[in-house]
Amino acid sequence: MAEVVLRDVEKRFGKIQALQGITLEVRDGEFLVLLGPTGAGKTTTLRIVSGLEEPDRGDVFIDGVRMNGVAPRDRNCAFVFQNYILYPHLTVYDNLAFPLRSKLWRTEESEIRKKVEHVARVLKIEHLLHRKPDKLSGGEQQRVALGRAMVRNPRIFLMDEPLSNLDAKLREEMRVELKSLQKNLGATFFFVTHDHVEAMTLGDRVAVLNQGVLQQVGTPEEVYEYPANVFVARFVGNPEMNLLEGFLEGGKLHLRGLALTLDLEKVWKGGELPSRVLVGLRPENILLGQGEAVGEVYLVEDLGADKIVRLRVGETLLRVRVPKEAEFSVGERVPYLLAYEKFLFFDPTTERRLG
Amino acid sequence: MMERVRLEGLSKRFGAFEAVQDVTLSIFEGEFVVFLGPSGCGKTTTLRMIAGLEKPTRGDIFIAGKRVTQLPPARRNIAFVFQNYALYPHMTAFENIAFPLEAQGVPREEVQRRVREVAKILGLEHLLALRPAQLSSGDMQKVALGRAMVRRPQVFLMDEPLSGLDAKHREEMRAELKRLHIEIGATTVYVTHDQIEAMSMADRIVVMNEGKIQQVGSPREVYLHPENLFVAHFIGSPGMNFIPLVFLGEGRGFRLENGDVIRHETMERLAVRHGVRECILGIRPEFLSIAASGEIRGNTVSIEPLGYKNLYAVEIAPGRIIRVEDMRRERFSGNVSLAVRWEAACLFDHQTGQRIR
Repeated sequence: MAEVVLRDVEKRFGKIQALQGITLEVRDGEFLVLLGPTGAGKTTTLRIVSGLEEPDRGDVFIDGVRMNGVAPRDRNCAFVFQNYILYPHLTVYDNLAFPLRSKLWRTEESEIRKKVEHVARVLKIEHLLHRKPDKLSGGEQQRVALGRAMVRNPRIFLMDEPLSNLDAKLREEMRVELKSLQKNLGATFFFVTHDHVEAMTLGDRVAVLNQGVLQQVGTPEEVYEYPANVFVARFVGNPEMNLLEGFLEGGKLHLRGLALTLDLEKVWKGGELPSRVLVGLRPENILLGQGEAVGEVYLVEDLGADKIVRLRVGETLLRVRVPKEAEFSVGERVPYLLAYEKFLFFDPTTERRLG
Repeated sequence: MMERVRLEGLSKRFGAFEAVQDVTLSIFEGEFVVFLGPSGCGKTTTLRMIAGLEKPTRGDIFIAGKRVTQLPPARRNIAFVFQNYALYPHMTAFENIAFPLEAQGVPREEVQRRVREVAKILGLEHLLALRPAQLSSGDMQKVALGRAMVRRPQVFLMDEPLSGLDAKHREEMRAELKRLHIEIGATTVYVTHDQIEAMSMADRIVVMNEGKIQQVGSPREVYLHPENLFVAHFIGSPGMNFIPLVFLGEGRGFRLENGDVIRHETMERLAVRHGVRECILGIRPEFLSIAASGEIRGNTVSIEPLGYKNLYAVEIAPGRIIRVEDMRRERFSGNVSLAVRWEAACLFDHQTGQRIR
């Protein structure tokens, strides 16, 4: 078992309320990603789990045991930082062996050799064991840092943006490696990032944090398709979700920005709605080249695998994802169709999703 | 089309390090040209040579037909927009934009008129009285742009101007910059390491690596028809998949690492004509699909949901992992077979890394 539970955790630094009553469960063997912008409280949460910080209020449990006041070394967690610090004067082998040679974990050299070689094999760094860190690439250094966390065979890995110092290409590769590593180890990964693509692609579940408040916890699909509020809707997804102001009158939904009036029963199956709403629609849920409404192509961005068209309708700019084969030119007038069944409704005051 | 900038055999050496090697390129009026490459590839050095901030070791630079290789930056009629804005903190947005004109002694009314004109294009009119510290990073970048635009230079030079912004702002500014370019049509040379910026903004991309131009072409060209393995890998997110093949002879097909043989007439003809034995099949993730009876067998390593599509990592031979895009919601795990859209496949010579055509 390796499960982490945070209950009503609060933390204040001077005047800043860093965490406001966080309750979160990281399940045994789960890859849980904590996602949020800078200053959301992600790192603080991780440091509280590791014991590097103590919560002002609330409890931390690991495998059902309350950890408040327990020293970091007694929590059986491994911490992997963004700035992996390797000892420059030691070889990769000695860097990996280092934790096992410390007073705390003192281990027989023959045992150390076995463990180091095993970890090196899993991470495919066997051929690097005799090199010094400055002779390694960024990705190799990151693997060594991971390896150093792995040698003690911890059940819980706490990772603070471990990929953010790598270049884009390497990050994509390390993503796959990290995910299969986690599966193979069967360990619990509690992973922090500000990058929503990283969160979606790595996490079994994603927990979205903003200003010290947990916004939503769910599978990547849930967070993407059914964001709990406007913040999550905008933070997850690239390009951003379209958000349109709407008002209701006599069974009709008016989208003023698009000069469009729709029968409410066509787009909403739930209960009562407030008279003003925000309607959310993902860029792939607007179809170009069909429908009766017309917009003007304002910009076309080729992203390779697909394209983003910004469509101007009155004063509104819609973001539309189109297939890579689609050809549109700036200034062209194009019919568009909104996928009504994909409409999301938010309360403009509370910013929560309705229904 | 009028040539606005010409680089001829441009090289730059720092001690023993050849930062830029023999770069020859024409940039035409109104073009948005992006120099793309990893750090250390020579893209910024090339830009700095165009600006006059760096003296070439060899070669020449022409701006609007005039040789400027020996001219100081101020006499080249260019505007440089930096990564870190470099605004004067004690001046308002208006004063920052007006600064280059005032330095040239332009009359007061004309300064007023031109600053307002630029501010209108950039949507900065309501912010002109604010100082940099009161502006968002996106607006600061716009003020920096405004200061460049107000002089009406022959060429805009931009060195990673969006890299100081967070992901969301970067996306917005990317679109705004591109739209601005469409509206004012200024010749722009733009440097970035971000292939998405290059793909989405450029009329032409100049891909550089190790000081040399690897390929020059439209975003579509470099994406669909990369000249070599470097370009194929660097462009795209994730990059192109590389599948090693051994050519067995015409009519006999190619052997995959797992021993399977795949057949494709056009590819075989290419291999024959080029006289190659070991080659690499290059195929982008969206041109592979999980199919009932595809050509390539594999085993799913991971599934990465992106919301509107899933990205699969599939192991097709021990340690050989390729990426496959799939638009279906349904998830496929375990053993899968992959169908290749051959019309979008590239063949590379294993030895040279060059595409076989």
